[in-house]
Amino acid sequence: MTEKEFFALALENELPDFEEIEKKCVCELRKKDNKNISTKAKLLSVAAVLLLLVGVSGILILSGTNADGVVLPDVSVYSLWVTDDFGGCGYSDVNFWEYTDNGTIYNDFEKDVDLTDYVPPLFKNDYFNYIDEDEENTQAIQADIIAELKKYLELIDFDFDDLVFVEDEYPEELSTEVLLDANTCVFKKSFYNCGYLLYVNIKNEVCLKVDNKSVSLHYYADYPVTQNARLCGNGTYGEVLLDDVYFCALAQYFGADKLAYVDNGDREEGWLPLLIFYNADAKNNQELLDSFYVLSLRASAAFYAEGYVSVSACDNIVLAGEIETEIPFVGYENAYKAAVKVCEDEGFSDAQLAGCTILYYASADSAYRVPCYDFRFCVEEKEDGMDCFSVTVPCYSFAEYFSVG
Amino acid sequence: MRLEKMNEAYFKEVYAQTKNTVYAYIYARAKNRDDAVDIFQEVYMELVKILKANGSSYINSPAALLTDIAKKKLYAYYKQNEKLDTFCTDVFFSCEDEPFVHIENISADRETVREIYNILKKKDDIVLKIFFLYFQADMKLSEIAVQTGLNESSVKNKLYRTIRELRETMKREDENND
Repeated sequence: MTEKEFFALALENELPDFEEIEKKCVCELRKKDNKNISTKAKLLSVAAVLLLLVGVSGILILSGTNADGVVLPDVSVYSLWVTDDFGGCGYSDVNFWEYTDNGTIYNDFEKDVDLTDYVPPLFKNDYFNYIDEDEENTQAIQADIIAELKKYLELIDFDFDDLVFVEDEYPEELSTEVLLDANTCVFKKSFYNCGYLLYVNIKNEVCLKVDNKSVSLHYYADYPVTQNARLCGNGTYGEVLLDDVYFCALAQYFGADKLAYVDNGDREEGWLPLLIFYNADAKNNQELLDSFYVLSLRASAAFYAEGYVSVSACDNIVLAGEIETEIPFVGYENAYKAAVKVCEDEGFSDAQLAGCTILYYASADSAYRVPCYDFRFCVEEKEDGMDCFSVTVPCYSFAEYFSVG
Repeated sequence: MRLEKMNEAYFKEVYAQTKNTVYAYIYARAKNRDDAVDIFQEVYMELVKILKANGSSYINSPAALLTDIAKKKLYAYYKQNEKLDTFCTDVFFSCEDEPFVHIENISADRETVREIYNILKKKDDIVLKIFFLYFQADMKLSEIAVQTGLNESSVKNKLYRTIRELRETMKREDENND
């Protein structure tokens, strides 16, 4: 045999027992699970609850249905600044963000960049320091955060009787349990993603309505997601984050002709923290779009060695997308060039360049799909200040959007 | 066909198609083989859960889904204040960029194979990982570099240097046997 075959043979011990694992999985698959409620049943239950709510409250909480008849979430009024992603394990908030005594926030990699102004007021506290190696301490900090949150919610007359905190690792329980009780709002705290995430199931937005002072925390959902997730993307992929739904629904609600979409930040070649902020009080599309605020710190193999690329505040709105590339770059110009190269490699013409970037996204991680947006890059260079440029991507119509796939 | 049967058939097909790449993906990021196997199993168990809950039609791209699950399982597995990528190294030893020479006709008796594996096991995890990804997962050096977060030349150096050591070992053993 060849040397290569020889080493491959020697390394077979590093492989798992594939057959054994397959057997376990198949066995699990065959098990009857009485607790499992079919998706259809869940949807029917949700629909029933929603109808009941409509009947009782007289409030029309449905903002529409898509071509498949799937109920769109209500997105009427949002009044919290929230973000859905505080980074991943690699360099999550734990080691990424620092909060100093004098109230400034900066990141570990660029100590001289003061990010204080980039952070919405709600989070200008110890939010970024909430995880500690000491579990008890962490819990105490979490409790503080929740207390802070409650204080804020009280300002808007939120009814805490309907608030439930859950500790579970994955939010899928929310889908099965909480969906059936739309009067229960769930704020989920978790260390999942090495971050503190507040989960609100999409359907629970209805119960957050309080005299037209509705509140909805930006929700985050993991797999498996509800059927609503299929509103986005090509309508068939099962792993679309509910973020997508949120953006889709917002766009539809506001009759958007363009839609801000930001990637969740979790890319293949690095664990990318991407903070997404928006003004949830937006009363119209423009206001909403103007409020989007994205702070993304691009990381890759080049991250450590060559600096960072920051998609940060620029003219009130930055619609950020990650460029999936293995090409090391510093600064957006180079990032753009990198995107061009990627696009060229993919065989796209110049005219299709912006779309190519998006398509490249889709191919790199089909969980993320971008129907349309203004693609604006900004980079904060160390010496030259902010540098921005834009690429506008033609939008799909929403009819097309919701019927794709 | 009943739903359970359909799911089972679907699972088997997906498993056969993806197990090697998914395992390589996990192995590249896990600290060691044992962790990788645990996570690997969790990933497919998660797929089972999704299938049971939603059926196979729910999944459009199993490979992408599995990668995403793997990513999240890795997160969860190492979430306790550990960085996933702890094996970055700043050791860059010199190594000429020699072309990879494949030695033909290695007499691979079971004992030799086991011995080579044992030698590799004693190496740094990252060396074993590189070997696995290169020889078992059939990945290119550039791909391994991306997966492990190492510089490509560093990957190459570690691979070649170890290969040279192993060749020496095998050569010595051959001489002893003679």
